[in-house]
Amino acid sequence: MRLADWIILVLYFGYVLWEGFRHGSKNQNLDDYFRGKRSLRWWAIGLSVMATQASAITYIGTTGQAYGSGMSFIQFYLPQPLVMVVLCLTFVPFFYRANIFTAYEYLERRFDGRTRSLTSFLFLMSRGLSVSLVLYAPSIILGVIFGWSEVMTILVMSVTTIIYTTVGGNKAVIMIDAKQMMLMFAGIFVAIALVAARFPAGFSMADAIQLAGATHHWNNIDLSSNLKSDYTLLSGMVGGFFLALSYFGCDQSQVQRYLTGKSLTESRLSLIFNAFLKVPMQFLILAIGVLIFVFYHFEKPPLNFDESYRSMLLTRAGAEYTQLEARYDDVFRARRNSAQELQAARRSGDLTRSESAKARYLETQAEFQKVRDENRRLLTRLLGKAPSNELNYIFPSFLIHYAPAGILGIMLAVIFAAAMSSFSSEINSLAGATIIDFYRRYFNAGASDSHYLWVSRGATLFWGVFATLAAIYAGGRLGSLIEAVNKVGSLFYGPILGVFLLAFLVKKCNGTGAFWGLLAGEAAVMAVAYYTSISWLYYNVVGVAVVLAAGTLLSLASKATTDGHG
Amino acid sequence: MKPPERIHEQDEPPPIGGNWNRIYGAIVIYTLVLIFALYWMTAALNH
Repeated sequence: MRLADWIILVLYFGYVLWEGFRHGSKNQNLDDYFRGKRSLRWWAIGLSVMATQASAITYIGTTGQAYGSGMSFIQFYLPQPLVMVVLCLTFVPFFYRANIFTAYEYLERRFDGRTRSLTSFLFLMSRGLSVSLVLYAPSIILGVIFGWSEVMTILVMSVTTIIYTTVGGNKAVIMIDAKQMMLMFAGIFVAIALVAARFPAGFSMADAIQLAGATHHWNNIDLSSNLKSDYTLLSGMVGGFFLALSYFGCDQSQVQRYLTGKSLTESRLSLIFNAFLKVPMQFLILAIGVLIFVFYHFEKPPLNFDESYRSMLLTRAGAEYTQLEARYDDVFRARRNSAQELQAARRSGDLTRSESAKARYLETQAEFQKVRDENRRLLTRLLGKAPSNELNYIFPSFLIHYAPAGILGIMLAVIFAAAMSSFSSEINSLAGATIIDFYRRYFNAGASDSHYLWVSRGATLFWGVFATLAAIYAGGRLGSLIEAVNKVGSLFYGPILGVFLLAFLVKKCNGTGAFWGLLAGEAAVMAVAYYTSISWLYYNVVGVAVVLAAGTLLSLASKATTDGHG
Repeated sequence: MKPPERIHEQDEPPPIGGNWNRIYGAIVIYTLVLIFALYWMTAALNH
């Protein structure tokens, strides 16, 4: 980290605080604080929706996934444009016209208070559990790579975000999200340019694409029907569809974005904007990981991207590890030479030479991977448990070693912006659900605007501090970070979506059916997660199906009982 | 007295395309094109 990087970071943090205070002085009531007086334009909401979804985990975890196993994760995002159409046709007009603050408020109008409260409670549970990950995940990785204290990294991100969110409310969150998202877009192109600029002389982007193809890193689409596989077109289009529909349609952290639209048209346009941009954006983020994979054919990657392990290995298994490093040097050189030979063979147009060069390259790639696997086994033996997932360290490790002064600062600002934009929307929405669905609903219905404004700020502060403490004290190991976040959500998303679909689609459904159907759906998802090994992406489908079936049947049964008694 | 601000709750047409169904149709086609392009990329580049 050089002076230019620190200056960029200070400017970034200074700007978000200034923007928060600028909007904070205009808040006078709940409408201002949680819905920005319904005055926002589509582009700001659209960027905020994207920024809320894209956390630091998206940049760190996704690039790492693409480095390790290619582009297959893109299939998870493919249904999102279709989800936006469904939202524009159903959820958005229902919510907007109902003039509500939270999505769950709608359920009380349609069913009853207990269904609203239970659904809102499930949201608070799921979002409250996962919000700390937004801070915890990047802090651990930045801590290892940059040598920063994890607690300090968490505190710098969280305290700044808590201040501007508590003071500024949702309008400040959205306007800052929009700027942060623009920064994130710029960061994608800067990262691609940075990797491409580091390719050896004479090695073009076309060569890089071809080399990655040899190891099947461009595996965008998998047509297999294996239900245990996480990333196939089927799991993406079915499981991913329901997950995205639930997240964008029923998760208050997203609903609270498009409830601020100046008109229904503005709210819809914000989602249309997402429909067109989200998949290309995600494709480019994944492509960064693939390009870094290619780059590390010509520059030797660390044997341990989590560099804290190296000193431990040298201390506890010095001879064995030194020997492993020597073999690693050999297999790296062999792989680099075979990659160069493959490039030359392909350029020559000689098919026989190309096939032979490719076979040699794949052989050296397998040898290279074998040494890395041996290193993992050695680590597991010494630690007595699986080491941290190295894929999450690849992108930050690349940045610290290869980004020039200034660019490193920009890329770190991008990672901070990604984390803070999600964190701000989440604590703002947690506060919204707490105050609107519980405090005002059950404890204090007729207080003044000023009172609600201050308790809303208090609730934002509470959730911010709660998430910060959970992040600091969070223990245990995360798998692939991005999956961990989505898996926590998937336990709750399906049943919550099921209740909203009951509200919109099943006219005969009543409060009793919706409430008990929701509980049945939640029990079914927990059972499937515990007893089966199907991909977590299908939990949402199970949740929706059980809630729809149980809710409809229970509604009909309760109506028949009532009619019978009547 | 100033009248309360009117919130446009009725379906206004989108700023481009004439009506919403055309926009939605364009998104469905766009999604199919994306899937096809990505499939083509998978088949063409992984060799």
